[in-house]
Order: sequence, then structure tokens, then C-alpha cells
Amino acid sequence: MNLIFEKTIDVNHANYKMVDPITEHIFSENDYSEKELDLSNEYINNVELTKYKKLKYESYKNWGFPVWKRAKLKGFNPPKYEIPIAEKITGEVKKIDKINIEGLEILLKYDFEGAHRKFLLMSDVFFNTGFYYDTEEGEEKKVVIEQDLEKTIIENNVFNVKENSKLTVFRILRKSEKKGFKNASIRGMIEQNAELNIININLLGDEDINIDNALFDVKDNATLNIYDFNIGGKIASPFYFVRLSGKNSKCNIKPYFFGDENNIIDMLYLLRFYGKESIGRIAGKGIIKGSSKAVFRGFLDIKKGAKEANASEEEYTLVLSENAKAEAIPNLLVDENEVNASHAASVGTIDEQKLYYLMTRGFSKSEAKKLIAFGIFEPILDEIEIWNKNICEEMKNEINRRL
Amino acid sequence: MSKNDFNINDLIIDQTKYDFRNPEIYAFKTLPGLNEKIIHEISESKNEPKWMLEKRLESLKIFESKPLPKFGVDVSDLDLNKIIAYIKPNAERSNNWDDVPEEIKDTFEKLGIPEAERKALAGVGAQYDSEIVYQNIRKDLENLGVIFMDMESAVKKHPDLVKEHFMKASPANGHKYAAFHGALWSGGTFLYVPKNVKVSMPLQAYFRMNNPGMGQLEHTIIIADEGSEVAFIEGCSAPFYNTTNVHVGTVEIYVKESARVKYVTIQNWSKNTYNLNTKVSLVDRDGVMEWVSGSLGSQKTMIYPASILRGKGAKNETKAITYSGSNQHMDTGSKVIMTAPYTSSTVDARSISVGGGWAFYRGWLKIGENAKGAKASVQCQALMLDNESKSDTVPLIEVHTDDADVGHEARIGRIKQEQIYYLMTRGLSEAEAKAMVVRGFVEPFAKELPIEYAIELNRLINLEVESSIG
Repeated sequence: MNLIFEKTIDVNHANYKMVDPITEHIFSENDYSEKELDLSNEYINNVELTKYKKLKYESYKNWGFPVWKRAKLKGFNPPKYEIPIAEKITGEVKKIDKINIEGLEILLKYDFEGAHRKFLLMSDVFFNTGFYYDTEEGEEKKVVIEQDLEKTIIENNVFNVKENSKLTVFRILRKSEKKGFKNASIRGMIEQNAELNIININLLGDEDINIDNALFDVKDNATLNIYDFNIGGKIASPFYFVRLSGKNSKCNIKPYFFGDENNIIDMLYLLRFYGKESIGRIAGKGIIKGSSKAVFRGFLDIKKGAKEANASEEEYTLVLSENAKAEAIPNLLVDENEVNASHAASVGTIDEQKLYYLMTRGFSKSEAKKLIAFGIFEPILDEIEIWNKNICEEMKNEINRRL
Repeated sequence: MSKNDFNINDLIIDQTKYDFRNPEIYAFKTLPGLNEKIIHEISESKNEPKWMLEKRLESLKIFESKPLPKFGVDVSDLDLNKIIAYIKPNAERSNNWDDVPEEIKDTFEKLGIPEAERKALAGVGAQYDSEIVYQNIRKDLENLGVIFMDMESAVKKHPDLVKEHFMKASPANGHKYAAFHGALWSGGTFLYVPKNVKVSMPLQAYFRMNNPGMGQLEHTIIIADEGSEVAFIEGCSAPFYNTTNVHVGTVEIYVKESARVKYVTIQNWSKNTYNLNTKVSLVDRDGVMEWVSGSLGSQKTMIYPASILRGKGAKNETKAITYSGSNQHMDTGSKVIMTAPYTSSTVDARSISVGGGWAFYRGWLKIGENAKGAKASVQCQALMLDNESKSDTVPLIEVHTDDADVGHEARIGRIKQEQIYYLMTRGLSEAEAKAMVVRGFVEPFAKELPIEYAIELNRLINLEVESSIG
């Protein structure tokens, strides 16, 4: 089996190297150890998976927790370890300990850095929940997972989407009264002509931390669509890495974010193009208000051989308060010249003319502002309404409450 | 894979491979050749006042403790010891025309640069030719109160002005190379334009090559006093062969209220040069800073002309073109920090990569909390002329106010086959057609240049594009 390790920043050219960025890391005295490893194994009834965890634990020990300047994280003390957690599942899906050999191969084959290596390994080793999403060839499936942050969630997920099948997964995360923590690792393979739709709806409280570490491999003619909706959070840190490895493989990532109070939403979406005629698009939109901060990292990385690849990225942040901070770090890395590649990012405030128009129609200034701001999320709400009306209503309420 | 093949233990070796502990790099943290003694020697040989010596020693301390930048080109094969040995005041210099590599001589021939100028550009006998240029300009400028002289003289003749501005825009603790420069700087230009004086013709910096072999650490200060205007051109449009292979210059520009400065650079060092330059401008109320930056030569470059817009209504315009040919790694970009209300900035950065070259755009645009009503745009365009080359764009945008209008766009592509085909049907050869498209691509930049530079830029493009097609 060929192992694949995808470095997040992989920029070398011919004999030339680039200085590798260094992330400082700090070891925690309250870090999980053998004790928690044993505890976590109690819930698992799968010998191979236990071996895998042990293996990863050897790596886990070598790392401290990161110092994230932009997300204001200076190391980390993991919360008390809890097993297992309960969630509401609609549809048909296996828990991760029911993973088969095929799934294990995906788990082993794909490795990467994630938002930070430590967090990825944490989910690989200490998961207290997780799912093995698989489909049969030609099958069509829909799964809804609903969780709340009552307990700490450490999740390990594997997607195995077979040829010609279609899988749609809703991952809904709700806040609780406590300071919540969720950390997930996700690995997935989308085989030829298959389609995977992932809809993340993260409705976080202002003290919650949520980190997603995801790597997907999209094969010939396969499609991956990701809707990533993040609202709130002390730190919300989605990391989505997609390999477009097949001919004509496609990926669409649509992130939506809403930061309020002291929320920090630090996003990274990376499309790495290997396959010919592959198509990838990142289109992000969001609002920041209060003293919140949104960091949008959109990477388009086109490797040699990805002829006629089509890569585009756009991002827009609407700033609603003077203390909010918007940061955009678009990366466009091109190693193949027969491509179409572009990116655009903009940051702005509410257009005075739009505001004026709405006010002439009888809206008060604040109502008009709300209306315009709400409009940012209209596209994702429309899509979700088709799939699930209740969830759509819930999102609308949360957006309105924050506006 | 069948079930029998599967053995989790097979993977043990590979798993830890990536769990590298981040190694802190301390390359050339201590340099045997660089110590207080040599700083004293340099300072003494220049007859410097005490404060400058102290400044150098302070920079040395910072250099020793500062880590290398955590981004940019790989400098592991750069031997600064050699440079230091070279900078020693009593070191022998063997700059002579015969030492100039054949490829550079060839280029000079093709460019049609006269013999005398060729010698000048190669760093031999530069003093003589440049001195004349310098003298001619000085006469009529002096009457207006303009101070235009080499940096060493300025330190002695205008100590207050220099002291007030020396390494204030680019302080020694900015980064490791700035500290290196602070300790060892030599040569450079000092320019002061008094209030409301508008210098009509661009000033050129040929003459700073007076001191061959030491010009690679030159320090330039430009002070444009209130309401004044000046344009300054540095560099030459033909390859410059330098016996040492690193260039760590610093340019500091002070644009006072309502003043306007245009700074034009055409960098075309030979391809054995590390070009690690720092350029910073501090712009006061209603001041305008224009950077026109052409990075064509060198082996590896890191250059990001910076404007700090600290006065209300201050403005920045950056036009940059980067050419990255075979064996070149060009890490170029721009930096704009806006801290005052109603400031504005436009950046137009273009790059061409060909013959396996690597063009990397790195930008930083920061709009501070007080920059209400700020407007900024960054545009990047990259042209990849073949499939051996690489083009990257990484602009960082930070907006810390709710009242700003910020946009960024980038596009990377190749010359369309239809374009070439069309031009070829009109009787151009493939190389000519390509060169024509490239010239069109650099046009917005080229038209900012004085005519003789623009012509030479075009010649250079023809030369490089043709040779890359073969």
C-alpha cells in the first residue's frame, strides 16, 4: 500500500526550496496519556483499530499543542477525558469501531498535518466517537448526525464512497451550557463517478472550541461538495484538504462564517490538483461583528501534470463593527502552465446605497443592516431548506439572534 | 488488496517519519569573521563619528541573537563569512573585466552597451564615469538647497539629518538581514529635498558604485520635505557582475506632508547573486509614495518594498514586475501598512516565469484600527511561459476596521496559443510573437520608466524570451 502524506505547505521547485514555516508547540502537563488510551480502548471492540491507536500514540507523545498567533491559542490543556458520548443518528451508518479492512486501509493510507498535527493525532488516538461512512456501488444514502457539546467530543471518521454511489451527510453540532470542546479527524475516499456531499452546521457557543482535520481524495469523475457553516466559537478551526487526484474530479467548497463577540473563526481550505481537467472551487462568505475575528485561508495548489485544471477561489467578508478583524490569506500555487487559475478576496462594509434604498422603502437603519447581512447566508439557507426544513429554521434563528 | 496482505505493523516505520520536531535553524548565528573588531576597523577606516560606530555595534548584537526569517528563499548555501572577509577594509579587491563571466559579457555585447559604460557597470572604473554625472546634476540642484551626496559624506557633513533618519524606517531589529546591514553598511546615497522644491528630472544612483565591492551593502536615505517632489532611479538596466554574491541594501524614504516620491529600481544582478534588500517608506499626511520595482536578475531575491501610511490621506502606489528565468528563485512582493484615516493604496504586481524559474509573490496589506475610510487594492498577474516554471501568489490581507474597502485579485496563466498563431500569420516568428505578448504584459510597468530604461527592458525581454525558446 502506498502511503500518502500531504504536507499543508508543500512548495518546492526544481532545486529550490522555500523556508518551511515553523509552528511553535508547547507540551501540556495535563495531556492525555496511557491512562486515557486504556479508557478509550474500553469502548472499542476492534483489534486492528486498537493497534492503530497504539501506533499513533507513539507519535502523539512527541508533540505539544500549537501556538496559534492568529487564533490566540498558546498551547492547550485537554479537558477531562470522557467516554463514550451519545448522538442522534438518522439514517444508516456504522460506528467507527465497526470499520472493516477497506476502511482501515483508508485510515492508514492517508496522513496529513491537519489544523495541527497534535490535534489530528489526538482524534486518531483518543476518539470517543466517530463513524465509518461507507456506501455500496451505485447506492444512494443520506445520514444526519446531531451532537451537542455537553460532553467533550473526540471523533474519528472515515468515508468510503464507492463507485457510482452518492452519499449526503449532515453533521450538526450544537452548543451546550458548558465550555465545549470537539476535535475531529476525517479521512475519505470518493471513488470513480461517486458523489459525496458534506454539510457541516456548527452552532457554537462563545466559549466552545471546534477543530476539524479533514483529508479527502477525489478520484476520476467523482465529486465532493462541502458546505461548511460556522457560527460562534472561542476557536472554530476547520481544516479541509482535498486531493483532486483523478481525471475530471471535482470539488466545491462553500464556507459560510459568522463571528460575534470574541469569536475566532480560523479556516483553512486547500485544494491540491493532481488530475487532468480537474475542477476546484472555493467560495467563502461571512460576517464579523463585535470583537470577533475571521481568518480565511484558501489554498489552490496545482501540481505539475494537472493539465487543463480549473481552479478558482473567492472570498468576501462583511465587517459590521469597528473592533472586528478580517484576515484573508489566499494562496495560489501553480506548477503547471496549462491551467486556469484565479483568486479574489475582498473585505468591505455595508454598501451605503443599498442601505439608503432599503430605508426609502420604510426599513429602519438597523433593520436594513440586518437584512443585508442576512442576505450573505441566503444561498446556503436555500440549499439546506431543500434537504431539511427544520435545520434551516434553526440556522435562521441562530443567525437572527446574533444579528 | 486481499485480507491476507493486510498487516498493520508494516506501517510502523512510515508513521513516525513525519513527526519531525520543528528544528530551529540557527545557520550563521555566529560568524567567525564577524565580530566587534572588524566593526571597529570598518568604522575607523571611514572616519565615522562615535554614534555611528555605536549603531553598528548595536546592530551586530541584534544580528547575533535574531533567527533567520521564517519565510522566503532557502539561504542554506549562502556563506556570509566570505562576504565579511571581503568587506574588511584592507581586503584586496580583484575586480577586473577579465573576471566577468562570459555570459554576462555576451549580454553586454547584445545589448549594445558601449565599452566604457560596460566597464562602469561591471564595477571597474565606475567612480570616474559616475562622478561626472553626479557633478553635473549637483550644480543646479545645489541652488535649490537639495542635498545629494554619498552616505559616508552625509554622515560627516549633515550629522543631525542623518542621525534623525538613519535606520528609523527600517530598524536593525526588523529582521536578521536588516541587522546585518546595520552592522556592515557601506556606501549609498543621501538625498534631501527641501520644502516645496520640485526636482524636475529624475536623479540616478549610478554613482553609488563609487566603491566597487562595497556597494552591495549600500544605505540610501531620501527625505522629501513638505510639499516637495522627487523621482529617484537606482540600479542599471544591464547585468552587474559583482565578485561577492550577496546584496543586502537598505532604502529608507521619508515622505513628509504633501510630498511626493517616486522610487524606481531596475535590478538586474548576475545570476550568482543573493539579493536580500529592504525598502521602507514612511508617508505623512497627504504624501504620495510610488514604488516602481523591476526585479529581473539575481539567483535568489527577497524584496518587498514597504509603505507605512501613517498620515491622514497618505497614498501608496506600487508597480512591480518580476522576471524569473532559469535558475532563479524570486520571492518578491509588497508590504503596505495603513494606520491613518483615508489612506489609500494600489498594488499592481506582475511576474513572468520561464525556463524553469520560480516567481513567488508575497504580499502583506494591513489596515489598522484607525484607518477609517481606507481603500486598498492588490492585483497580481503571472505569466508562465513554459511548463518548467512555477508561479505562486500569497497575499496576506488584514483588515482591522469596519470602514475600509479592500480588494484582491490574482490570475495565473500562459500565453494563449491563438495569440501566438494570430501573430505568426502576420509574419512574426514564434519567438517574436511571444516576446511581443510579454512586452504587452509588462507595458504598464515599462511606461513608468525613463525612455532609455524602457528600451533596454524591451531588448532584455527579447533576448531572454528568444534564448528560452532556443
